[in-house]
Amino acid sequence: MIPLRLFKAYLLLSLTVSAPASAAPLLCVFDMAGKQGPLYAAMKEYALSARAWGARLDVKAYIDERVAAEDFKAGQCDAVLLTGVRARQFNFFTGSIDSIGGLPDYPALKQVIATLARPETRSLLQQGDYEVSGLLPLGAAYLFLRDRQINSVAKMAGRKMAVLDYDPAQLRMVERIGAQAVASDVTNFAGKFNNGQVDVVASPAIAYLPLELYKGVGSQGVVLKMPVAQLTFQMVTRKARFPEGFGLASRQWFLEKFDPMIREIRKAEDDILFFFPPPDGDAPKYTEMMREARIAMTQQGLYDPKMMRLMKKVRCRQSPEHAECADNRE
Amino acid sequence: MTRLLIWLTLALCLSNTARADAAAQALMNRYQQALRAHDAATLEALIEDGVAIEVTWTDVNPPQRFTLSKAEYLQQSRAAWRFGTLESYAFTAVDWQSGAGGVPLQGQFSVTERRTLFGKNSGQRSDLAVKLAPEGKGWKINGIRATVSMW
Repeated sequence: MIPLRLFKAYLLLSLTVSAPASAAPLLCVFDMAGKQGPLYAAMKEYALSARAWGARLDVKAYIDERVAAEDFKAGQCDAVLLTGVRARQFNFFTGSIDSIGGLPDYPALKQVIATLARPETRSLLQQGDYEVSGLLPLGAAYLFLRDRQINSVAKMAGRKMAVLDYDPAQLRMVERIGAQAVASDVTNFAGKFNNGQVDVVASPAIAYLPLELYKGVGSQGVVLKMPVAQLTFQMVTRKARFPEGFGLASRQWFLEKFDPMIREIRKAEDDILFFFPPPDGDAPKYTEMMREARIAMTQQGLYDPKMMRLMKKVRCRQSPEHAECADNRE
Repeated sequence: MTRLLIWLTLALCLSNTARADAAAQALMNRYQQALRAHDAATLEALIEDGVAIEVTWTDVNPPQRFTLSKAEYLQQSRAAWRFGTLESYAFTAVDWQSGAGGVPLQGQFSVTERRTLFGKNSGQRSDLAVKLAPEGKGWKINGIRATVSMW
């Protein structure tokens, strides 16, 4: 017969040994379609791959990006997938990829993301308690206008443009061109455009059909086929909750998804009606205007100078003949 | 003998021109049928790669000129087909002008497109100048200049 004291001690020991040290890390995913959305589905696939890197993830969908970011900050999520602009608060360097006129096209963006997937750039992806463990293209941001009579920067003066209320750079840009900024976020900018509260929005093509931006453009508007920014999704992880080397493996996984994501983005761009490049001769002027704005905003502390230098290297490797490649202003 | 050579040369040019005009008209007929049928593959086959398509909008102030690639031009056609309903195309006859020896050819015509877009009557009138050049046994469009008014 086992003495009661010994039995109680054995019971306590077995309970202590079998209890889990901590719950599985939780990945919170911003997807406007929630659990039915493509990003959530992709992150479920990601969670399966993550087992090989030492983490068994639970995945939760959020339809409100702000709430996802807040829950992550509060420690309720151990990883979060956000837009690059929202992720800027966690990593100023990678969050500056989504800067005005920073990268002209998808090959340039891929070069930047591929560079950041290399082991030697690892330290740049870490800031404080956080690490950026993946970057995906969201698509170029294009200007959608309700009225094609707004056919110059001068005619933007006084017009209303939706800006993300958590991106001071957008507010400054709108002020520079003399338009009126209307504070918005990713969940309501399209509604404001479609119902006429604003005259102009910037959006990736991937939002065109789901958010019905064609209604705002109508038969009188136009979509300017010139990227004003390259937008990204970024996964931010809380370093302490993931094993050594997880971030590097994760960034490689995301890099492999770059080309399939671009194929989806290009399909979305193919759907856009009244999708016109700038009028002949105007593109260089717009590029220069965005460059001046970007330089000013970097000096004001809104963009990371290290990322501006990296992006300039990429631009000038692509097009060394451009005038900016002869100066050292970025 | 000289007069005979002159007459033979003239007859050859006229014969070439007549053949060119017939072939060019056939191409334009295919172009128009492809637009009406939303046949992007045929449109693509009729236009040379690398062609620059100049479009001038006249209903903005000041008028604006754009240069579209073949891919951009076709993308706009596909998008219009996607969103438009109750669509019609009305073409005027093509006025042909031949270069030396019948080639290259340029045709001028107008097309009025009407469609319902997002519940509203919409459309555009385009005055087009189309250049054709021989390719193999056939012709291809190797230049488009359009002056467009939209409503």
